[in-house]
Amino acid sequence: MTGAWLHHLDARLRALLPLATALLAVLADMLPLLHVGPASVTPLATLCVAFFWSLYRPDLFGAGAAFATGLAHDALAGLPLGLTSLVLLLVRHVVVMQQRFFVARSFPVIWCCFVLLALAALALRWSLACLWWGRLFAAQPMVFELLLTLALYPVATPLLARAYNLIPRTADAS
Amino acid sequence: MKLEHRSLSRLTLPLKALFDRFAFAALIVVSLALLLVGKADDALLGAVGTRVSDAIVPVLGVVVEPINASRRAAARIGELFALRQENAHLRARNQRLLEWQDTARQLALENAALRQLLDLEAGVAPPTAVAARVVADAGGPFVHTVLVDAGAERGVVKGMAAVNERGLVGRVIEVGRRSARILLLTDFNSRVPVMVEPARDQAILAGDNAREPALVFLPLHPRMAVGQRVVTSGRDGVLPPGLAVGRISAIDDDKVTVAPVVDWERLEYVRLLEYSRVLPPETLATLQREVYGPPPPQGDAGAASP
Repeated sequence: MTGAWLHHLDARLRALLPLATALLAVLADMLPLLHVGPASVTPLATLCVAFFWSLYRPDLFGAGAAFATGLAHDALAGLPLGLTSLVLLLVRHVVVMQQRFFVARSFPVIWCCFVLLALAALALRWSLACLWWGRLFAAQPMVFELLLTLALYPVATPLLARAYNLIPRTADAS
Repeated sequence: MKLEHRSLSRLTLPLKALFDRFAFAALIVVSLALLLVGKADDALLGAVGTRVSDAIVPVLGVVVEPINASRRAAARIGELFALRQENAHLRARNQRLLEWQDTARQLALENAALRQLLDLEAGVAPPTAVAARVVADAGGPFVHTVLVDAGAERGVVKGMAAVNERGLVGRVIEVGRRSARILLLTDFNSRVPVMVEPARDQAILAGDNAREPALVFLPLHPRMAVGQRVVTSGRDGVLPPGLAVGRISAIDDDKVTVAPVVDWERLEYVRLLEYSRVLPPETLATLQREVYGPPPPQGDAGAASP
């Protein structure tokens, strides 16, 4: 009885891994890892993680998780609340809608899709920020942020794949 | 048993899909509403932001320490290679500083004698300071702010100047219980009253998200040159006067840019200085209410006029 209960608890905790890794990515975005000054830009690790889980375990990375991740990012980065939430929600929705296309695709194809989606997501975030503040932000930092994010995805994927392998594939986890 | 589970799944799956779709639409609406409410009243959602920061800051404090330690170690290794060159540079600098020390002593004596002659106060009291560690620096293309691990519990208040060993970093714009957000000099919202030495020309240092902020509201005939020192003027009554800000890096026909003295790559600790000669509007309003009573309603004034 206790064994079954512990097994169930273990499965539940493992099912929280997508949200936990997304929140870790938010923390990673806040750390001064690659900073080279206040005009610097960093990769948006949160976007990589949100894309990965929306693709492989959308059942465990629901709309609520995407929203919470975006909200945490906005609150810590001092951005208007809702800005990143909106973008992550849309990214998740597009990936889930195109789930059939992604089935059994090779990594380069998936990465190319990530390129397109990240471009759209960051451009949307930039446009929303321009509208919100009522000023035109320089596009160059956004382009650098995009390039760094695209470069980060292949690095982050093996780490996220390890977390993915820890999650049971049965419906019990959901 | 297995069959029951399957039929249950068959029933719940469409419901779950429906719920997911509803949740997506609802959360999109909530995100848009948050953006609109945040635009209308930033204080309301600012409180939510500071609560989240308060909760996360202890975790970030733990995580950021090994990163800072490794960066320091890497910097030390780099310094080892440049030791001989740096030694010669420091000797020359020390010589120059000793000469300046003599000059400063003479000027301090002269200053004290002149003050005595004019019967002036000995000077303003030094501002109170709170030391804080930078725990989050999100960077990005929109805002230039950092989060520090000191808040209202340690006496941090909005408007405090943030300085490090080199000079002005920015000022405090949000205060939580255990965290505070600092607006850096380079942020497009930053405006700092400064003066350019030695002519003491007054201007405003305005950030524009670039590495080097610009001087605006210059006097009619500015006497400025590249390399001149820029310090805070203290005219806002919030930032202490005389804090090093930077040096003029370029003068064009329509723009004077300043290179800040702060080394942004090594921004680990800051001191938050409280210096307020002018009362903040909230305190002033409270005092006015206490002395004069509540303000008359706006409608009365309109009715009395012909």
